[in-house]
Amino acid sequence: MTKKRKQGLITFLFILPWLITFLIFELYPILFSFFTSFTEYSGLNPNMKFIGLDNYIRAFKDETFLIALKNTFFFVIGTIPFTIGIALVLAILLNNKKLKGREFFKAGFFLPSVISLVVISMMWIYMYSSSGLFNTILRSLGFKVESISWLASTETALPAIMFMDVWAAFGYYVILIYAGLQSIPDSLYEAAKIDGATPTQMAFKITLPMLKPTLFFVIAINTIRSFQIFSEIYTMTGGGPRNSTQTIVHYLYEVSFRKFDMGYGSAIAYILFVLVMIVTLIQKKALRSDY
Amino acid sequence: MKKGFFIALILLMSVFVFSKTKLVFWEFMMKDDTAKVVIDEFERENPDIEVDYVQLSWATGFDKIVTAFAANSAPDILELGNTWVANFANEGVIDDLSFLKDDFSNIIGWKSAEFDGKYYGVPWLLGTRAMYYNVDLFIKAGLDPENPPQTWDELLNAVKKIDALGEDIYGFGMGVGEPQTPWQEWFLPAVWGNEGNILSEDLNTSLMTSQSVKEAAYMYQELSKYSLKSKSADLMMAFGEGKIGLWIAAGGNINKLNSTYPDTNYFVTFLPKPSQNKGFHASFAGGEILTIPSSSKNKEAAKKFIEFLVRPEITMKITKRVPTIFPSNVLAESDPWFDDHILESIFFEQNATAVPVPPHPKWVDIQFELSEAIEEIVMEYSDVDKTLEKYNKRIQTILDKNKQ
Repeated sequence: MTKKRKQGLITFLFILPWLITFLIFELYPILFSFFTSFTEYSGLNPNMKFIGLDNYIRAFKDETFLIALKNTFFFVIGTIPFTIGIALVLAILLNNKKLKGREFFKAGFFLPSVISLVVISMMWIYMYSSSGLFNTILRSLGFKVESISWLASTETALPAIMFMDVWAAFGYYVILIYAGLQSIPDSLYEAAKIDGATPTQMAFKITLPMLKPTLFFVIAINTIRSFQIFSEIYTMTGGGPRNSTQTIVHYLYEVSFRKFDMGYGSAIAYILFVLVMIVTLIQKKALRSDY
Repeated sequence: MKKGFFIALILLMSVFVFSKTKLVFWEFMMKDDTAKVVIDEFERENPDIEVDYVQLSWATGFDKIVTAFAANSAPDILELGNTWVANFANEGVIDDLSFLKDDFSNIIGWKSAEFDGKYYGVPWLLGTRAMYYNVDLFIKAGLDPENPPQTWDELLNAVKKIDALGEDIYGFGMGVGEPQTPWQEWFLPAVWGNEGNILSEDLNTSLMTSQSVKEAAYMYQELSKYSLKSKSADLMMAFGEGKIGLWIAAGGNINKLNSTYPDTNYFVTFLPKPSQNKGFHASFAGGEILTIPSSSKNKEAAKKFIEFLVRPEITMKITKRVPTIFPSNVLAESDPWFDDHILESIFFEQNATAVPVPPHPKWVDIQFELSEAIEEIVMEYSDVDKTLEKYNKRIQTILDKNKQ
């Protein structure tokens, strides 16, 4: 065996454990669910009936799916600007070398990201309950508040979850954007200063353009994450009341595991996949990123 | 060489001689310590059987069961919630156990295990709902706590009087914002108590626009005007804090209330019926059903274990440990434990008039529609007739797709 081939074999052996798990636990389910999306399949017994595109057609006639689609878009559009906006402002503030206690703030912002989403959800369920923190604050400010959980009303349930999600997510993006800011060479700012640039000009002509790759990455993963919102819905509302918090992933879980309709569930999963891909490509084009 | 061969042979023989039948048992209701006591006792009685026990949680158990069936690795004995039985039976993945019915003459709640005229499991434990009421609020509102409401009118009257006590006092606690509570606590029992149902006997026709459903819906909408409408956990807190007059809920709240709100003065009574001379005190029959998955290789041992599990003294062990659910075996009523647990005994008695949901394989889909309809009626005060008409069509569509 030549040295080159031997090296290749060793490399392959190192990759093999990952390759095996990828093939069994990722690629196979991806292909299998693509196949089942064209069938009527309960998942409980092996009977499968090929029905072509029926599941896909059914989705766009399904009132609940359309509500879930609308809610998911509302969630994505309603949370991303806030999450990224807050993260960007805080990262710029953190980037100020004169700021005292930077490490403390960084750790503080990042803390929600290391707590399990289910734990966070449970915590916020209590805060949103009829005699929870929010109602207590509102009452103490003199507002007349009905003793109702924020999560039990069709008007407030989804915005309440969105608010929680922004709180839980922004810290992670602060750290990512902060890392991006750190990589911008100081010499650029010094040169701009010599040329008489104002802080605003520096922000728009240096900081944002140089941050573009980071921002694209942050917006893309936040978009994907938001489209896939599940844990918060599952833990806090189960999609209710009256489907006001029903989202695509929660609905596909409900269809597959509660209603034993794995074929339809798989079709919904693929619709989501295509949607996320389209949105990500649009974002890529809009930001003209090379990433 | 010879010696080695003989040793191997003896070892091989001993494996066959001492091998035990291994039963895999999945269930929700027993805590580990209770399960250990129960299983040890069974294994002492049946030294040739070994029970491999897995406790499921209500949060993730259902998914685990579905995944196990999909992967063809279901257990030998599986506890299913009674609202799930029809669905699994319809898929042909659990055995028909009708032949066991005659052997268990002391067991009630068989309707909970019924699908298509056959019985796909043995009722093990039964749980239901009863009406909690705050004694102090009754007295404040000039009501007699010794005579809690027995009929819809009496209930409405009591609820209005309590609701008038103050801004943050509510007459009634009404579950919304969850998949089951809107229909389970009282709406559907009110329909049953009103001698109606939401599905026809043959399960092929939606009866959402029938007179008995309409009457229950109008009543529920009226009741909602004087209610705190929220999730169960919220209602439990509000009742504990003395903000709710009457509330229909499961027996598990007795322990929660006693430990978290020891000063709350409350009692429990049956669910009201439509009027003195009409209907009955219906409630939702929750139940735990012991089933045998079709893939089991140890069906004889599984039946033996089921016979053991439904004995009154065994089920009472579970009730004493988890007093939210009661034996399906009527012989358990003579247990002296009930003499010291008055509130629990009311739940046990309420079981006698509890009704299971219609055994339709698509009940999960139907319940989603039902919850939506009720939430529309009580949260948005929508036109009752129009709403029932709308959801009648939607439920009928589900039924038509799955004609029995």
